[in-house]
Amino acid sequence: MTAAALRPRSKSPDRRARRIGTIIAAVLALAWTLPILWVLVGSFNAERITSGSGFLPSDPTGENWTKLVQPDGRAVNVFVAFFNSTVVAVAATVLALVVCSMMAYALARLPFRGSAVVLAAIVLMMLVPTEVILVPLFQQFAALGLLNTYGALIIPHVVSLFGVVLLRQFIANLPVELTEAAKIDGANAWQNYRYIVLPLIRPGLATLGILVFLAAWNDFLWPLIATSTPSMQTLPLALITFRSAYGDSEYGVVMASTILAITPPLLIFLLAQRFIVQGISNTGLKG
Amino acid sequence: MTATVETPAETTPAAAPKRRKRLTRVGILFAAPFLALLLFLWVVPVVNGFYTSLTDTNMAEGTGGFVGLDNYASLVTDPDFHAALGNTALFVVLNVPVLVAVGLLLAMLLNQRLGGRGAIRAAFISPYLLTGAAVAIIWQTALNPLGGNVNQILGAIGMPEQAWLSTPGEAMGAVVLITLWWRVGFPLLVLLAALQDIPAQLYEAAKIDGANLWQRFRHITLPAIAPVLMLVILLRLIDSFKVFEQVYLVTQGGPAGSTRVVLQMLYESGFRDFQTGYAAAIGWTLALVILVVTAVQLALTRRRAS
Repeated sequence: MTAAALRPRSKSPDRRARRIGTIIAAVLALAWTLPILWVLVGSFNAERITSGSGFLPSDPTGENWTKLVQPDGRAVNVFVAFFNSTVVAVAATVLALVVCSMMAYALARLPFRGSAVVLAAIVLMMLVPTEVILVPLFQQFAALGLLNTYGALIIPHVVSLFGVVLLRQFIANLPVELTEAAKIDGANAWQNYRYIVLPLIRPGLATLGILVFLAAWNDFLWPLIATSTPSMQTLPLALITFRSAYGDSEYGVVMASTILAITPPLLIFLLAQRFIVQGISNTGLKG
Repeated sequence: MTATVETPAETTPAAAPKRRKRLTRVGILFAAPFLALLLFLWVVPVVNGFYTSLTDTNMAEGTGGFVGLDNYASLVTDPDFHAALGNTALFVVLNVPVLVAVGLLLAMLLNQRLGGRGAIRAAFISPYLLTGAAVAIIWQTALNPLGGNVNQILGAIGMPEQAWLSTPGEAMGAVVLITLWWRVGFPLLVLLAALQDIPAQLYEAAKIDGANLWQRFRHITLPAIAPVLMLVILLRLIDSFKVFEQVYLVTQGGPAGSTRVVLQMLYESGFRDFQTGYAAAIGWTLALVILVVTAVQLALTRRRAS
């Protein structure tokens, strides 16, 4: 009562401003998600039109999804692509976490001759656009006979320069006493890394893991170059092949496959929003 | 970067030489997998790619000899390359300000005390998680001139329908807006983090002193987020020069080549026409452009800071 009496003029405009702000933000946010909802609607639309799906299916049907599940004789099987994408993204994530965290541990706690130079080089290399190495990388994988294999799709995602810088920071911030105490108890470097350091940097690992998974799942240009048969295509490629082959006659099925391709990243986002937000914010503050 | 806690070996000077040697060996073992892959995925290709750019290698014919700077000389006079570079520059000039400005506005909106802020933030970030292929399919459908959703909306509010993607002047604009929708989550999140670090008392004090909204933005917000803002601009600059998917998959570089960008040209020369040496030269030229822009931007930032 007294507070209201003391600030009679500031309180209600504040609340009104907040309400207006909320409404503006909510309307914009809704508009932002609308295109994704259109695809969802389109996947349940019976009309075989190549153009827009309308805002609600005029004649709702599950036919498109049935067709997607039964790919009778199509050249592109979206489920094969889904399987490929899963294998590639999961393997890349696991390997990147192991390789990058070991490197970060070495840089933070076991400096070797030249490790300072290596760290500086890594930060510098983050400035080199990866596209400059597209052609030579293709030639190297070709020379090793690795083109059109899972190896070609996985290996380029294992080395994350940003990941090493991020994890090194996490490890450097751990109190030295923790690893020292374990050392006195007779733990060697591996045990220290495996049982002390790794559990303590879990938030960093989660952030890096999600970023690597998303990058591998969503990558388009490298799989486009590195694969040559539909059976090795990942989802983004399969979507495009599918669109060119069947887009005119079966647009609803293209919409359904698009939903299939974007659901895992959106699910991960909903489950681990904190780590993604942290990861992206960190990217901006690197170096 | 904050100060590193250095090797524990330094704390015991007597045992230092012996332990440091052992530490060095163990450290290299831990670093070995990463360093080996780094060599294979970065160092060798960078050197290799530069050498390839000095040859007339043709992947289809399996031929190629050293030609010195011939590829670079051809690029200087290649009208295709000029067009691709011009289109890329146009995209950069349009995309970076739009993306950063809208990102900053949304970040400032979300920095207010709003109801359901988490859900609203999630809505703006969600497109950032989608593959470019899905983004292309989504927007090709929505922008379809025959009854696409965007034209339906335009028709409903009495505006003329547009064939966005097949009109030379409009296609690049459409690509910029699609990119805004897809990528705005990045500047939004980074700038929001910077805004949240500004102490609220600063604004309170300015309000008491009678500063209006613009003055508060100009003299409190902008200086406080300036370093992060410059970094966001730099990262978006680098990213925009490497634009590919949303153009290649939505417009295929058309209409009339008006959206064909450098990376599309690199992809087509290298992997469609198999002019490997020429493609490598395009890659190096693009890298050079990006490095020069980065250097200029960093220099400008430093000069403004001092």
